[in-house]
Amino acid sequence: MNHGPLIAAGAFVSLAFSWAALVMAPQVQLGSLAPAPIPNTSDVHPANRPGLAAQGAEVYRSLGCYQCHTRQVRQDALLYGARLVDRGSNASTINLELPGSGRTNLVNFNLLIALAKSRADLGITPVAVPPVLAADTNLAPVLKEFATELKLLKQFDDKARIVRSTSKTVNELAATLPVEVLERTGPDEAERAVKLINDAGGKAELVIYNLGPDIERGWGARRSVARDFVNDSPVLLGSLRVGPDLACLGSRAPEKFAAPWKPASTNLTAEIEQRLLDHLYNPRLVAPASTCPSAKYLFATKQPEQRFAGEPLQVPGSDKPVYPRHEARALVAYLLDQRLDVGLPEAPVTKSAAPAKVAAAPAKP
Amino acid sequence: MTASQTSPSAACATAPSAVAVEASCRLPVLFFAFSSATWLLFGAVLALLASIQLYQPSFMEGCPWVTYGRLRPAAVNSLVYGFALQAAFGLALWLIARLGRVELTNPLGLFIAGKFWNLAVTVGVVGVLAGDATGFDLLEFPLYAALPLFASYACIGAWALITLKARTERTLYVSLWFVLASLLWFPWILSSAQGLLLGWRVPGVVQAIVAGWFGNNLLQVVLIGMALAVMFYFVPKVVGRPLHSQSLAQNGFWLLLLIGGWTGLSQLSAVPAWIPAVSGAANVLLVVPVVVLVYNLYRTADGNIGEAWKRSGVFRFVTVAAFLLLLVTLRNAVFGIGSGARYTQFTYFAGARTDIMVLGVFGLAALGALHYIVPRLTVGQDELPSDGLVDLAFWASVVGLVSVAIGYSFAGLAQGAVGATAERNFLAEAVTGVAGHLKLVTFGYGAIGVGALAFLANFGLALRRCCAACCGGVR
Amino acid sequence: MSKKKHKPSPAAPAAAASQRVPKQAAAQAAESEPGVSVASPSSAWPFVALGVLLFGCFLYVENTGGAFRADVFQGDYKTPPRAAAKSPEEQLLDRGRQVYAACAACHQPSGLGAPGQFPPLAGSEWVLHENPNRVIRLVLDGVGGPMTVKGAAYSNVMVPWRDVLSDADVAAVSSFIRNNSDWGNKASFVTPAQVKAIRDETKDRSGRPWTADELLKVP
Repeated sequence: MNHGPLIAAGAFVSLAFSWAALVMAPQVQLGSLAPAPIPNTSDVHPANRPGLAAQGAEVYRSLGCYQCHTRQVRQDALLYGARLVDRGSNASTINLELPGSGRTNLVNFNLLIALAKSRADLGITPVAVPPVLAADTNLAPVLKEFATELKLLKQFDDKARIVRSTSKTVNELAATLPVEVLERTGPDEAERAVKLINDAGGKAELVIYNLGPDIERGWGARRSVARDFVNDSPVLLGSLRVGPDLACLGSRAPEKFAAPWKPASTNLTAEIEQRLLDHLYNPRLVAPASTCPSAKYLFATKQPEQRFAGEPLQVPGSDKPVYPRHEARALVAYLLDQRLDVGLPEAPVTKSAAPAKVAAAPAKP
Repeated sequence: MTASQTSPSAACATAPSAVAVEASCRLPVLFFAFSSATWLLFGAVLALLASIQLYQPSFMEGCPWVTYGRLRPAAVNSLVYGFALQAAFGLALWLIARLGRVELTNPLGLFIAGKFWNLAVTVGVVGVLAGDATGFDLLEFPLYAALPLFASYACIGAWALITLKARTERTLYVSLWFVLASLLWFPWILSSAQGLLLGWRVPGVVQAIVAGWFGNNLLQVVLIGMALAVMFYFVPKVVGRPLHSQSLAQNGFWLLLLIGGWTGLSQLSAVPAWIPAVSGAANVLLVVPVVVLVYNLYRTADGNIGEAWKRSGVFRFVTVAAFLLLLVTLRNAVFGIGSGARYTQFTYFAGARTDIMVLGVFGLAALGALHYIVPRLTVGQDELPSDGLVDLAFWASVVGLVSVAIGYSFAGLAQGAVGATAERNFLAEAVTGVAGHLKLVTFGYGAIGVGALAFLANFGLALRRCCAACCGGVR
Repeated sequence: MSKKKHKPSPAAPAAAASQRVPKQAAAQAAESEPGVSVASPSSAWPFVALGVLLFGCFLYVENTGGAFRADVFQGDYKTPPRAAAKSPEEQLLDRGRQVYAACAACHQPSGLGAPGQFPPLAGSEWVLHENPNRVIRLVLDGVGGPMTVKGAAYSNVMVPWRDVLSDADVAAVSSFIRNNSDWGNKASFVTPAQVKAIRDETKDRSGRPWTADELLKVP
């Protein structure tokens, strides 16, 4: 180890290893990512920013907003489910798939048959095909015949989180379609359930649950993935959340903001824009607990010379209007341009028919 | 007494005298020492002002030049490029000259290159405050400052390597391995990162990956490597015993280089899952070389630690730095994988890694080394003139660093608790609830500034004595 | 930044004189450079520890590394997520959009046609008629002669597509033009069974284009 060039060569090789693994390999994998087409439209996601929002990105970088805010949503778990959409041509058999029907569900039916075959000691009566039920049959008495099987199935059901209640008639349940028949399981079980129901004549679709505190807070409908940032340069992801995440400001509901408010009109975008301008001028007006620095220098007190400078801002608590400069409008346009509700191949989103319940501990697939 | 494995021939015949070696070091090393200490003071003040803004947003509000988003990157980058890297250059030059028993090549050129480095860093900091920051952590200087930075390093690095090549003591001591690796590593990672981020740009999140790779390599290999060079030099020297084991030093060195470059990316989010997984695993693996290296130092000093602690200020700095290195490596390992990483992701806890490594591990080691080098090169003694100021510098730096680390860590854990569940209110608990911890951070930066000031005062005293001796008068 | 430049002061050599003592007999330990102990033991425990940790790291990356794929972002999976299955309507629309590419040459991608030449499909009463019988006949056998669409008169010939498109494709493109939200069209979907029924019913036409009057007689 007294040879300088030897150490230099060794250092170069060591650096080359980490460079190959952590610079070259990601570039090879992600370098040619392109925006993905959105189904049934001619759009792509992420779309190229309109000019004002692109200038806003420069303002965001210049003011250093990325030091306190992230623009990426995290996700803890991705789980699947099956949603029954229509009873189709075999309504009575499909009725059994409704949560609360209390009967052996088709999805677990072959499980029951397998169980009957393999565990004779359990004494399960082998059942071939569930008998047809009339539309307004009350299910409670029918339950009694299947008490043993139901108890055993309940163990499997609890793992699969199938919702069961035993008090309604089939018609009452049918009125609440579409409804989830399988929630928060692995991909294979959910796909099998969808196939079973579709084969039986009904219509079911695969549902995806994106779970995690960020998503439950309403900061996004799914996680951020690499493709969301292909159009950003510099990428400005942010690595510290002094303030809330900004990935989804453009599509966030008013009650999901850090300082929520009741919307006064139906034009949510205009309200969010107004609030963002107020926030930029003095964050304490919008959120008294906020420690965001005020950006008063982005606003002018005198009427600007340009003709189309936009509406003046009426600051709450002051009678003199201020005039947002071009930078302020650009920054707000950039913030509103952030959307995360479109599904991508690597991070799909299902439009929810029923709101996903907040889980204490989602089951692992 | 040290018994070393030198080749008998080379040393005595052509080696320049120690006086000549020190004379050649004087100008550049003292310049680097002075400017790095000044940048430490400046950076600590900027960081203090920025940290006040975290809980008192009306502090200095209304002026875009000092908004938090510009002040914080200015503080961090001036600490890294102004303080840490300049101190690293000064230490590297001195170690090469002393251990290689060779005069520095072109001291005047090194001094001028150092001036240019300072100019580039100043322009860079002003550029960041003006809003031209690039957006990449630890690489925020705009291009018009980054290129002169690279050019002046090219001169400094080239002359340092030429000096190393011309050494008369052919045996490379352990410290010189680290110095050589750092001197080469820095331009390689800087040119890669600048090229891929500011020149031919990689797209999208690959930018974040490259920036993270650069920042990690800069901290974990270049700066920690220089800190280890200092530790391996001073610990055996102060206790007066040879280093415990050559093979452990070798193993630790190579494992640090191999593994150190892979760590640090474990809390990236919008990237394919394998990147944070691999990086988190490397965080854990890094414990092995760090334990090996610190154990080597411990066995060298074992038995003499208490006595050396009392006797030598340098030893105190270096020991605390070694202990902090072990602590921060374990911290990164525990909170770099699995649920620990998820809990502390995007919190102050993760961000504190930079402060602890730059100001704690490297900062304390470098400050300790400068406490030896500066009096050596000015008044020719081993200790700076004022013992009181040495103690003040030590305790202020240590207390400051510990306050910053604890403040950020507990603030981060509080943020993590809020981030782990959607039920907790973000504004009430993650913003207002951490104000107390952040006040501790402000105090810590202030103490670090006081420590830097104490060192500068001592430096001034030493210079005054040196000047007085030059122009006549009593020592 | 002030610079500090120093020539060796006269007092310095006095203190430095002690450094000229030969290494082997260095009087003060502090003046000699650190070296490495000759009897330095080498041991294998770092490599054993490294091996154990490396094994653990492999397990960790195996479980959370998402199989090193570029499209897996959830570490516990090894493949990208399953696509949410498309409903039969969505599949019809996607296929219809692709088939429509052949029609876009005349009717334009915007569905507006060319004034006086090719009638529009967007908002056209022929397309949006409550049942798709007319549209299916149009696509199968074409139409010729004078025709009024949205109040404008056209007189042109549309080629038959009976032998070119399958039942599924005719159903797809008919569903697409009846339901394209970009054009603002919303009407019922068309199933391949409906197309097959009409194809069989009109198989005697042998490709003779319909006239507007004949079509108006179709319920």
